[in-house]
Amino acid sequence: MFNLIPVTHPTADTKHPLLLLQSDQGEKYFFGKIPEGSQRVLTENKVKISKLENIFITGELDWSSVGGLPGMILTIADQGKSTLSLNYGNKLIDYVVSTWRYFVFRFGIDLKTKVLTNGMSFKDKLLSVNSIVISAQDDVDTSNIFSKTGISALNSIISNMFPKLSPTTRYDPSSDPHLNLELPRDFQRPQLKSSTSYEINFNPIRGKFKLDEAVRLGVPKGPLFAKLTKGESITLENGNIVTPEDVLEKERQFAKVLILDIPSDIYLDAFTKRFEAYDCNNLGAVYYFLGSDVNINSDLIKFMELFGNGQVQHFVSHPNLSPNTLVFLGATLTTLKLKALQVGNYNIPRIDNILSKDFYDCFRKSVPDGVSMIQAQEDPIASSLKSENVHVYSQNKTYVVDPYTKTNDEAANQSLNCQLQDDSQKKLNFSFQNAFNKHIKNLNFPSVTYENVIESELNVNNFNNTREKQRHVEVITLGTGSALPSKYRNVLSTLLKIPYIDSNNKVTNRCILFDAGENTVGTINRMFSQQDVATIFKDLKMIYLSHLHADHHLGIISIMNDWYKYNKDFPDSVLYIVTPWQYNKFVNEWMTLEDPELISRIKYISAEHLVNDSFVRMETKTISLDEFTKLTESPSKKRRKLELDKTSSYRNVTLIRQMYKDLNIANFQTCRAKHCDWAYSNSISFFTDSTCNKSFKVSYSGDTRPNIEKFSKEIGYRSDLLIHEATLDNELVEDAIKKKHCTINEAINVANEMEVEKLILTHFSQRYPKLPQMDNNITVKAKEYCFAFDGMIVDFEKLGEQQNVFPLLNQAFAEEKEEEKKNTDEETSI
Amino acid sequence: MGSRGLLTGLLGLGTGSGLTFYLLTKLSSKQTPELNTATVVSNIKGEHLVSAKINPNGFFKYGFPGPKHDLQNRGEFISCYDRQTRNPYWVLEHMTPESLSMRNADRKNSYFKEDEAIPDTFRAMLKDYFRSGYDRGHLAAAADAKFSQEAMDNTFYLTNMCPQVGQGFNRDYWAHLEFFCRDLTKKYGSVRVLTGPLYLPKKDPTDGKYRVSYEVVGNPPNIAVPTHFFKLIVTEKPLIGSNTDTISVAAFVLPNEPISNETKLTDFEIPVDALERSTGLELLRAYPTNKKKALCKEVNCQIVVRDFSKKAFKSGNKQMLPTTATKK
Ligand SMILES: [Zn+2]
Ligand SMILES: [Zn+2]
Repeated sequence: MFNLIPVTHPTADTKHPLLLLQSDQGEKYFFGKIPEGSQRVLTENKVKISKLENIFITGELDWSSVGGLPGMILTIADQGKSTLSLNYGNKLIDYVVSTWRYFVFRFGIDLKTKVLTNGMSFKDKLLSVNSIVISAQDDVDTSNIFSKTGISALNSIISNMFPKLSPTTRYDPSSDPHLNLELPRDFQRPQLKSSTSYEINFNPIRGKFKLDEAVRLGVPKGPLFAKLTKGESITLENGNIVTPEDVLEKERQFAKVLILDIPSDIYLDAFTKRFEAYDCNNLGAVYYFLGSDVNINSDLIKFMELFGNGQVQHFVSHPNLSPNTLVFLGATLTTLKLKALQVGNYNIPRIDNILSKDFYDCFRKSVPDGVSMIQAQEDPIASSLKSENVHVYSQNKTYVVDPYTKTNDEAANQSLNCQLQDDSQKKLNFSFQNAFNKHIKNLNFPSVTYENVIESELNVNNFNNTREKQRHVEVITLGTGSALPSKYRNVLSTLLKIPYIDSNNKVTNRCILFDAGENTVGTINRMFSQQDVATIFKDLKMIYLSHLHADHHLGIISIMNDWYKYNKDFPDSVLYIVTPWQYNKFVNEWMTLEDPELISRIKYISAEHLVNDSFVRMETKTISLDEFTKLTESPSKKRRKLELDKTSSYRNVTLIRQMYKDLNIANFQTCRAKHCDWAYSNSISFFTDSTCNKSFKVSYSGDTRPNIEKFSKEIGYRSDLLIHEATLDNELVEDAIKKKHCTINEAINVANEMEVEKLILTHFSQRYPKLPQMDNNITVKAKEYCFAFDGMIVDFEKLGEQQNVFPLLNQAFAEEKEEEKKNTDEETSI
Repeated sequence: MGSRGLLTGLLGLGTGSGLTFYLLTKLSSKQTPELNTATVVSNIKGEHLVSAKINPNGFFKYGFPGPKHDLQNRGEFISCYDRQTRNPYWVLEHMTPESLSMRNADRKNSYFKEDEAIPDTFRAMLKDYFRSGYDRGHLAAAADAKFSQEAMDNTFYLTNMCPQVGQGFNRDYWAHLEFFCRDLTKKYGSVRVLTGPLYLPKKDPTDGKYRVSYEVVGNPPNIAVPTHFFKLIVTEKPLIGSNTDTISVAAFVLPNEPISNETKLTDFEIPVDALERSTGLELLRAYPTNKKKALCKEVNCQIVVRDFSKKAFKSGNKQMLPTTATKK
């Protein structure tokens, strides 16, 4: 028996479908895409991945399709998993994995990429998976996209990213000659337009050996039994022939399953051609993973009709079909509880979306009351497909494939023994009313009612929504956890809005992101209406990345892509990124897979070039492909060290000046953080009006040990606002030293020495997801301070209001604490 | 955006939320005297008035002050104008499957015009809208009056207009709501819609008190910019089922600001009595309660974004040129 279980479906939190195939023995395979947020979904739903060996990636390769993969690889490796294979239809998968070499490297995991070109199969004891690779254009070769040199460079990089043993000394991938190697860029853009799909065939179960029958027919025990079970006929001594059919029960089969990924409409013709003569015999289900640009219209439905009616079940995934259900319920409840205490500081998660009228009408699917719809064609679609066989792909709709015995019936009548287990209503039944009654009402907080906290706040955006706030600095702590996305806190990201008042008294906004961990974009899409999301992205001017740890940057590419989506039509708008230099190499390599126009709008400044030091550390030079070839030809000359790039020590003053001007910055400095190689803390002064007399100074620690000399006393001195990491509770100071982080007291001390006006503490250890240590800390000298929570919106002028509810916060999370205790008990008992 | 949330609060009874309180608290409903006569009889004993030597009615000899509600029948709709805000109080439309199936008009032939029937002093002017940043938003939509060019032209009188946020509202969500109303004629033989502006109070974060605040456009300031708009929809003669005298009713209040298309239309639905309290209008009181049904239980009250611009890329289908969605 096999189960096909949707892990993700398109929502605000998770952009694409990921499907889990699980055998009754627990073997697991992933099919589809690994959107950002995937690993958090696994945590949320307690999906164990110990028996996962193979991921079959579908569609095209771009960040939105596989943005959750690097984070998932790191987590899988940290759980002690030893092997994992990434399967895909062409060599581009190697390029994709190689771009992560500066920040994804783990020791002890054997991560392999397997290229399954069109027609090739993956086989193991349970199943075979046939690869179906379809190009958008017939005349483009999408299978051989790299030269020989390119291929060997990619192979070399991947094998070095995941070595068996860890090195003894401190490790920096950018100074490793095996990794800091140029990537082949010799492919053409049309070659990227290829989509991988799969056909899954489960191995039949051989019939049981009928021992009694064999004995009755006079077969002697021993080797002849084995021959028969292997399917060979035997001749007995008396000359009688015994065939396997005589002594074996009938073989049992499984229905086959198709997983089709159609990224956009340009593929539809090619898909139609490929499947026109497809043998639908024995076909149980077809999964359609449709990109957001695919139009749901009669052409698409006509394509689906190729797979006939009969028993074939059609599961269709598209952003305009699947419900925008809340994927992270634990986090949602946290937000609601916090909102109960500070109504104006949190938005109610948005759960609405726009559904395809054409599809819902055609297949007579029920539409929840009031849900907005989109209609793509004037005339309704008519389809020969039976409505009950067509399903909206979503979580909690499991397709169960059981074995069946072939009968002599006509193929059409043959029962395939598959069924659908549909529990999706459970998720759809979620309501804020129930959540409130169950988790908040009983806390008996003063003047907290459903009407105040939920009903009057639906569709309300508490960010930048009053004339007063329009002139205030506001902060949204989008993600506030460290290391890994967890149930209650996502990984780090902080958004700042600093208004600028021009000489006409007109307010324009500068939004800045300090770090953006995986799925920062999901949090934004969950918090805001699409209109408000557009406004935030139009105001976004800069992304600052403190260092290369995965919890700080795996969400940046999505932010850039969405920024471009909303700024495409404004040719003058640019996005500054201030990052360690290795990240810029990654961006340049990755952007060859995305819209080619985007990279021209990105203005990169090295964080090293803003350092408050006369000494600018030099970057290492990347080994070119030519040099790599020479080196591999004569291995004796193998390089042990990389050359330094002397030109990299000259600060890019022209661009820095341009940024000061574009963003009305008075001063922007970094200092080296006490954390890992190439890690920084920063401090930026923004002019707040055209007189250039008033400015706002904000400092952000990134990850670091306390840095009094350089951070408190120098660049950050007397900041208006300090955002500081406070990873660990005070008693864990030894852990803090070992992992190069701060305890809460250490962070407060940095703020005290800095003489800041206000302080936000964030980046809390995920081991204590409930609440950080809020009492028994040293005295905070700042006028106001607060502890960050995911999705918290703070007006700088009222930053300290959280202090009024400190006593109630512990009360609010008693339930989660209990759960936590239970989990740790469980862990220790294993 | 805050006001939008306050509106959803209207659904709950007896809540602490301010606007809800404002709208649901029973205002004393003393009968206002008819002011269209020159003598208003008082309830005070005449002898007292005589000895006190007072007669308020004496003022009327200088002229009756009003207010005057300029009523106009424009064919597809009737408008009632508010001289103080230079906005309509309401416009009242009637649509039928027949009226909407006739295509005798083109909005290209229509142009915005001031309503000469309103005295200069109280008239909304074209120049008031110029560079105001607001659309001249039809209350009776032009697309509702395609049965005759004259009827469509009539929808372009400024007495049928309010300043509306363009992008995200008038040209988007509001337009989809208008389409929803027209689309009801597929299910009902008769659709009546009452549309008008609102000026709703908002909680002031500094002192927690509720205040009404709205912009006035024009120089000198002339036309009030409503904070919200309402639509009261009444459908008659269902096309399927028994053709009884039962009507179906729904009331919506939307903020005059960009609304994301994914927002549920039902989030803006309010009870008719709540709408009465906020408008000061008496709504459907002459009709028996047991003959009024909730429209949103009969049909799914939702907006449909019609986007026919994205035709599938099909090499063999080049002749299928993109058709544009009907825009109002
Ligand atoms: Zn970190
Ligand atoms: Zn770190």
